[in-house]
Amino acid sequence: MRRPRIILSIAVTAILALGAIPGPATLEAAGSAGTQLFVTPNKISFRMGPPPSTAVCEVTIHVVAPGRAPWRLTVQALGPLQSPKGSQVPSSRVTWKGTPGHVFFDGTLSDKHPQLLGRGQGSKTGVVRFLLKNSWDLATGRFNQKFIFNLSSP
Amino acid sequence: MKREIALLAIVVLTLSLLGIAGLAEAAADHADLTLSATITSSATLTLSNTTITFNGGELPPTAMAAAENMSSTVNATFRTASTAPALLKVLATGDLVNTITSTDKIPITALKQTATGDAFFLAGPITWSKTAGVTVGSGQSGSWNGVFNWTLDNLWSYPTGTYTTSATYTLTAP
Repeated sequence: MRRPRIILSIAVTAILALGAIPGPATLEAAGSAGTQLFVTPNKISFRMGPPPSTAVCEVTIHVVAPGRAPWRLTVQALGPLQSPKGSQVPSSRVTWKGTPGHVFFDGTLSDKHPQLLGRGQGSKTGVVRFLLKNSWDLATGRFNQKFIFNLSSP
Repeated sequence: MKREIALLAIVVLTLSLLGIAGLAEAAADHADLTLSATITSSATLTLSNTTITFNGGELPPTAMAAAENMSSTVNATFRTASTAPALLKVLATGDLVNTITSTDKIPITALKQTATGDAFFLAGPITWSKTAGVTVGSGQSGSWNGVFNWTLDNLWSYPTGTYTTSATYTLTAP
């Protein structure tokens, strides 16, 4: 009876050591071993000027991938930008420009489908400038929304 | 002993399967980004003509009309942050003053404004004032287009001469 317990204990330890059971995730990097995504800062605030000005916010994206492992990065909004009073700004009003262009692409945000933001092999660092154009049809207020970046590597 | 071997075999098999599954599984990671944006009320006002001339060819009491092509197209575009309407007001700096004598004056109340176009602009005629802004437009958020015209009362008592004044239009979006 004792031996099976020892064997089971060894097995559980081995499983944990192999990382088959994921540990708690941090905000910036929650990936499986070897492929990690870092987005900094994790909060951006557009300083809107009068229409038709465009506000710009910048984030740095760092993808860590072993060797020349291929990866794909998408971004999706969880919904339209929302004010406490119930006004909305469609997420499609937010666009972005990625650099370097051969790794991080330009695009338009969506809350319906993930949009391709980048693709590459191995570790890469880039800058993504998010843009929000002010226009007269937008309601006043303070708007908030969360984006989710997803990094996948086959 | 047999039981132990069987258990060990199950553990080894489980580890193997987990290893295979780990290889097949796509590596993935995610990150959150919180966005905020503050959109405030804004307003812009454009007038195509900022100088109006009355040639004074009319005989009193016919009001003087602004010289040809001296009407002004106007655009008021604004976004309010409250339910209160935006207001467009005009306030003159003073009476029309004779440019030579400086003492001869035509009261600013002799100047009347009319408007055509979008409903935001009050049709008038609206009498100008030098003491308080006079409302010439009122409404909700939008982009409004109109044409302003002005006339100047014409009295025999006005001394001849060239008179001038200025005024400021102010668009306020609460």
